[in-house]
Amino acid sequence: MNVNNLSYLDNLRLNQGADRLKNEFADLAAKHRAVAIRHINNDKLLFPTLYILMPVITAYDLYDQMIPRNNIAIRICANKSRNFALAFRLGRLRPRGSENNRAAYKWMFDTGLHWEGEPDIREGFDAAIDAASALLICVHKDTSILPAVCDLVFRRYNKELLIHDLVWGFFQSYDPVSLLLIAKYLLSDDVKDIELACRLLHLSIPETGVINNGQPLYERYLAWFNENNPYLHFTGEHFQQTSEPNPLHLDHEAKYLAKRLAPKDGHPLDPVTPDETACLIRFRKASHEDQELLSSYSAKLHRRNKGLWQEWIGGDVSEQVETAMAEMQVIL
Amino acid sequence: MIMIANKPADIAELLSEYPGYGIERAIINILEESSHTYNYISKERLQFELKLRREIVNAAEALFRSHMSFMTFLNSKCNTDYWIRTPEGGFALRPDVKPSDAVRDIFINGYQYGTECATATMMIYYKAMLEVFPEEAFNQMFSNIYLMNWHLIAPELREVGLMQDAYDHLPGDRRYFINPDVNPETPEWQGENVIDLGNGVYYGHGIGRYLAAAFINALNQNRIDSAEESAYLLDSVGRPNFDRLFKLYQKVTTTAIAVPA
Repeated sequence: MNVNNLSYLDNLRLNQGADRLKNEFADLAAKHRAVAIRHINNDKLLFPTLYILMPVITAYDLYDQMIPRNNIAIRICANKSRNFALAFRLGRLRPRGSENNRAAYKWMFDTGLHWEGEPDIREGFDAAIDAASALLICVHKDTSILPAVCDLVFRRYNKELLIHDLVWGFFQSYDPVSLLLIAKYLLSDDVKDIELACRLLHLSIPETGVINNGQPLYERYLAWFNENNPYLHFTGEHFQQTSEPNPLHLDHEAKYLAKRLAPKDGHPLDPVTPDETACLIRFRKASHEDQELLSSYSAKLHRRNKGLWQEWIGGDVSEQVETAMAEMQVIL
Repeated sequence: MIMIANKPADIAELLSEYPGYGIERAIINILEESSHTYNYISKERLQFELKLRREIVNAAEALFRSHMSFMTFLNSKCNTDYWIRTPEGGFALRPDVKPSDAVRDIFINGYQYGTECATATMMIYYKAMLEVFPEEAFNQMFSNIYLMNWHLIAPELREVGLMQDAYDHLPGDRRYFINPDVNPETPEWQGENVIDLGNGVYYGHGIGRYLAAAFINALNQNRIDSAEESAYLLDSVGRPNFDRLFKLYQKVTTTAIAVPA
């Protein structure tokens, strides 16, 4: 961090600690209110500094003079700490317009992401970061923060801190890339990282010994993902609902028809044609094992030779099974 | 229909053992009227499930009356005489207290506790187990309780954390109201874990004891501005592994009888 680029209040916090920051700011607010407000509204201010100063801001009631960024951030913190009266007041002060909100959430996330405060204030701060990231992802569709959110999930897990809301927000992006970000942690040297990556991707936790080397797991997952990506959709399962949430569902019918799905709701991106409906009616009569074989063979053949696939998909299911069994190894 | 040891059960005889309007009768009637065949290895196995389901419902009703508050993990609280609040907001059993005393305390001094709906549901399961199993056996089985949604559940109760498809919905089942368009600022409203109390009534900590419509209404009030989808009740259920628990129950109750007075 470039110290020269820091605001006065951030410099004070980083060099002299939180208590000194609060005392000096309280002194300033009492004697030179306008100066205190200028400092707290500084463009370069970092979110952790604002967070630490919240009790002083409340004590001197500086809210009416603060810029939207600060009021929006404090409103979120107030909601998280169940100070609903303050949250309501700040909600009324909040200017309309989603750009102000987006900018405030982004500021909170970007400047607060790496801060690790004292345990007594850490929980509330983390909850505010979780809310800011979820709002950016869900409301403002900002997927640029996904890599940073993913890293934060793993950092927190290593410290045995709460990750459930952060993970929930992360998966709300409904972006398949999010899974690859997690999968990269299968390559970590840290057993805890591999363990969490397995939990989040709904993979069986490997036996002791194998867990020290996640490379084979990673390669298997990547191969599975690349084969099935067009036919996957998010389930919305999360830790509040179940102990073993499975973020993804593989739709074998879509895979059989080589029909791409919307990752969010699993609806086909193109309408299902009458010919495809007829194919599906036949497909549904096959056994579960045959359905898996057919969908797997179909996707592979479709990728390799669309002409042959057109011929194959129009045939009788028993013939399809025969061909698939005979050629599955060849087509790999 | 109900089969016991591969033979159709004598429903009249079964019902006669549960006079009045208890939930055991309601469960027997649902099982018997189902198009699915429920085959129990013995009458005792069925009776065990009825007893445990009854105690799950009783514990849910007791928690409803306990004055425990709704809190997110950030603001969760517990009686520190019995529990240690962890940095992630869960409650770990103190090593110097009896698990049975700690679980009972939640229902006696509920006002000292605050948590969210999944953790509250785990409290219900532990209380029900305490009512069904001998206290000593309970304390041996659950010597290391950690209460934090579906995280680190004792192996004996592992299955309650999972959701599964079911042919029928029965009193004592865990159900889940999901809120797909929840406001991301309040993820605690992303859904509500409930216990089916029978007659269409559910208990979910934080919302209360109501018909399904009330839960849907409460969740819908906490959606994003641009919400398109209503909250709804999932078909899947969470259930303990009654077979395994019955075997455990047989083991501990037989052992208890064999111990000389």
